[in-house]
Amino acid sequence: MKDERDFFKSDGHINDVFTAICSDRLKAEREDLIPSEIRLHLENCEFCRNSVLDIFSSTLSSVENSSQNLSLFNEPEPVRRSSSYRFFLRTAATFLALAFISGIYLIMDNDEPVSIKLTQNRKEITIVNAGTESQNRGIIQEKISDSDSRKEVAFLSQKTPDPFKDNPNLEYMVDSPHRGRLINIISPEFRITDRGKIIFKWENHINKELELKILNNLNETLYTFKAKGSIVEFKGNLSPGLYYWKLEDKENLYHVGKFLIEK
Amino acid sequence: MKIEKECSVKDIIDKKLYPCEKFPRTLFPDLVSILTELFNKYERANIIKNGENEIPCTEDFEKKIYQTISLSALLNNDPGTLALIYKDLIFKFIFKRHANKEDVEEIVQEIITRFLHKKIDAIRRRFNFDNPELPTFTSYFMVTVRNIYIDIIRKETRGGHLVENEMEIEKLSDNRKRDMLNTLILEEEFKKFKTLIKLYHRTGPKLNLTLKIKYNIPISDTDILSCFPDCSEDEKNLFVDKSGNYIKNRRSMERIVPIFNKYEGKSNNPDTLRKWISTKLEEIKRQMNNIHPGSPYNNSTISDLIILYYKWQKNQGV
Repeated sequence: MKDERDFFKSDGHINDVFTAICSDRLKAEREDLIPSEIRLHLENCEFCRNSVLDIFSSTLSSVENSSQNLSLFNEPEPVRRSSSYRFFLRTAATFLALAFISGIYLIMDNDEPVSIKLTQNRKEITIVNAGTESQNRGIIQEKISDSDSRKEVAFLSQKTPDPFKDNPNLEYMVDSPHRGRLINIISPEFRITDRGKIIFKWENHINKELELKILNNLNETLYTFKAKGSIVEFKGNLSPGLYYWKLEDKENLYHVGKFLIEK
Repeated sequence: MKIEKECSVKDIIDKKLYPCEKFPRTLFPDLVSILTELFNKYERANIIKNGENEIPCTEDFEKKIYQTISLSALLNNDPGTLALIYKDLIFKFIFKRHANKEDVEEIVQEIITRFLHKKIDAIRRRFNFDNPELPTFTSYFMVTVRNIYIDIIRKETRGGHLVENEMEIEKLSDNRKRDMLNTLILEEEFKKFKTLIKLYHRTGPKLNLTLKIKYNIPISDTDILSCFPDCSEDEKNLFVDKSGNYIKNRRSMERIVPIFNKYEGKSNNPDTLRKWISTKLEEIKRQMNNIHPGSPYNNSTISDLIILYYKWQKNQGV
């Protein structure tokens, strides 16, 4: 039996040789051959789990050429359609064109938005018309309900998230008094009029260097700034939508705010 | 004769010295050409030096190949070529962490320089190719690369090259993020996730079971027994719903908490178990993000990955 000191460095983490051994054993799916002392350590030490996973990932052969190459985020493959289906599409398109022209005719005397919805078997077509003269071109959206498994795999790319929708995971933290005692926010306001320049300003009672993060409504960090003072001027061009921002350091989250960039 | 020889050099590289299983060509694309060229160079030099006509195609020939281009020969005699073979792997490792290609090139150069000047002697001393208890050289080499990389980043950060006052330290444009997301290969992600779960030596089975329940994935007898090997039939029945199927509903957590309490010697309520799962999920998300640039995983995508992973696992018959 090996002495525990053989596995670990003086700082208590797994040494280089055994980090490499763990990665090898995991790659060979023989994690049972990893010494139990190391397995117990890995259970509790995120630092070492990171190291092992890092080495494992870096030596993982790419599956680029594999037949099972399935991309999580790629666009779905085009659906192959039969000739009768194509005929149906052509007929539907003609019908739609007629419906569209009649729609325009109707709207000329009507300020209300018009929405026509047709459903037939696997296909659902929605025509949305904003109802104003300049937008009378209309938008046609097609949704094909297909349970193709490849589409299921690539479903993430099909999501078209609403950029103005609240994010419940962040929403409950916004302006929370429990977090904000040490920080007094001065700006920005909720509605941003000048989207090219946003000033984040606060009174800081903790005298720590903070990090300011700007996130979109999917909780994805878009920008990170190091802020030694208590003001950060953001110059950029954020597209219209709802954004969140955070003030934090390594240990604590001090403030979560949100702002809206209108269309 | 020359063509025949080149074929046999390539054969020996492919079949004996650097087989594809251990040195996948996707990770080592130039390996064969670099080593063949090196061997030819060596052969030419030998002809000039010894006045020999050609190295005869005998066992000696194979031995000469081993002596010239095996990993241990390269480590001891030609570390520059060794670094060249691993350059793509180092590049990929760094590229996952840095968006700017120029930065990547610079860091890769720095890593190779430090490897050749500072680390090589230590590796020669410590690494013994004949010792089967040691890891593969590639894994060991990558640990060294990772250490050098951390050292470089730490020093640069201290020196203020990377972090400046109110300076934008990270900016990922939507396009860049999209490109990066497009490169994620699902199967590779599954392997990483699977490996990560394996690193939870004791709590792995509990993690599997609770994640499945959380995400409404049907559980199986194996899931229950790997978590509670001494589980009685009555206790197992708590995992079965009215229709006789195994539960796959997060609300069922209330029913099964007593079993966790019994076998873990605790007296937790369902909320504690839910909190435990959330904490583990945060850890998983963080660690999956650590091995990618730009933190692609948020709460939603990590959930999607987990759901797909279990479906994939089921299809694999695991």
